[in-house]
Amino acid sequence: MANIKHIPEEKLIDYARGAIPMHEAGKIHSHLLYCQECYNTLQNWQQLLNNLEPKQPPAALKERIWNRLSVHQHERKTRKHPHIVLRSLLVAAIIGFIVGLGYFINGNRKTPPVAVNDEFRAMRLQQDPQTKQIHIVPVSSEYASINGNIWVNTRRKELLLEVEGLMQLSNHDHQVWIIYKDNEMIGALLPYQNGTSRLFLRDENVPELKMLKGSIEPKGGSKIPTGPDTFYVEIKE
Amino acid sequence: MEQDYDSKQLLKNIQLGSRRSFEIFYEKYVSYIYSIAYAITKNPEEAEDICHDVFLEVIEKCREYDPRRGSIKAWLAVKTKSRALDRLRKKKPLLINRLELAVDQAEKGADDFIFIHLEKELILDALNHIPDDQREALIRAYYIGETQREIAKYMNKPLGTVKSLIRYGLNNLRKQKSLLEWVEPDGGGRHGKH
Repeated sequence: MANIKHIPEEKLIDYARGAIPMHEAGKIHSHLLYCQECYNTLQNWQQLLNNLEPKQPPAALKERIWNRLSVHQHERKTRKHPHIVLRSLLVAAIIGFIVGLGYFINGNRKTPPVAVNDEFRAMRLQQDPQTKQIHIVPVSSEYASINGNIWVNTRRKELLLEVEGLMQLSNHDHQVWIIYKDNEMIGALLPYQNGTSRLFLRDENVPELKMLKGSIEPKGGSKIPTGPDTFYVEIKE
Repeated sequence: MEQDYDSKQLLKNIQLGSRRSFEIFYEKYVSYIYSIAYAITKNPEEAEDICHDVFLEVIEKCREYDPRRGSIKAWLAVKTKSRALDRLRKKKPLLINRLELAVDQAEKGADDFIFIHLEKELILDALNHIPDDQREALIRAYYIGETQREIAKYMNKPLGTVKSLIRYGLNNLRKQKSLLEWVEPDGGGRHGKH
């Protein structure tokens, strides 16, 4: 039984909807006679679909989705075509570059990182062939919706963090921790807008970076991480 | 399959910025997606958000669609189910409200579907601090799938008492200290009555 090849869930849904060609329906029927797992999945869908009440969402949803799509498409275009950047500075500013020196909460490094409000520089960092792009990793399935990247360049001594999928919290803040090879750690609040956080840093110590991690902290931020952690990214040479 | 070809082409056009294609695709599937999301969450605001997320996901990842696995409609149904279950997992007040709604419903609809897929640990954690008989009634109702009559027989209690145990159990869940933060706006999002 361990080697049963199950029927894709999509196929079972089509079967439940009666939207499968006859010859294929026969094969599925035969499979269902001995595969309890597929049979249960089918039953679940039949139960749901047979009792489905047709409903319509609010009319405003269409516009909401289209606007979001337009923002995503604009972001993609500006990454590919830097000449569009100047024209789109205003839009980019809305997406969340409201970062200042005051964000850094802790750390004793002689040359602490500086948050930079410069879309054009960030773009150049992303396009530099020597820039390394690394995916961030959610710490658990609870935060599986979090995704994003860092772009790090030791020559330019710059770092860009972009995270999507962070939940907006009214009593807590999202904070990122910049961890160096000597284990010193500096915390910065993550600006947040429409589910996206971006932080662009210039940091003399970029070559000394070991890791970045995100965590949920009390409003205003913490001096040390209290957690829970949300994501991390290791920076390897 | 012809329809699926059209839908896939619409998705590609949308990626290229076609508003017209978006409107056709949206009108074609929005009710279906929203209805499934609502059946699972029983919450209009959440269903709307799920719709939003599913549309964005399928438009941006249309290359992931594999016609050998099934139709576009079925693909959308699976995506919607996954998003809806994720919401129930992440938003405890939504889950608690959904459990409560399921208690008195004669029509099962998506109930079995939900409780089979959700991790038992989510609720069992919250059940740790409520009285034994209330916990037993809830576990029997939701995870073992016994009817209230079967529970009454097994627990040797009148049917009315079992109904009360389930109701008190759910009310107690809300009172748990660990749940207090969930019912605040930041902890669990929207979970209004409907």
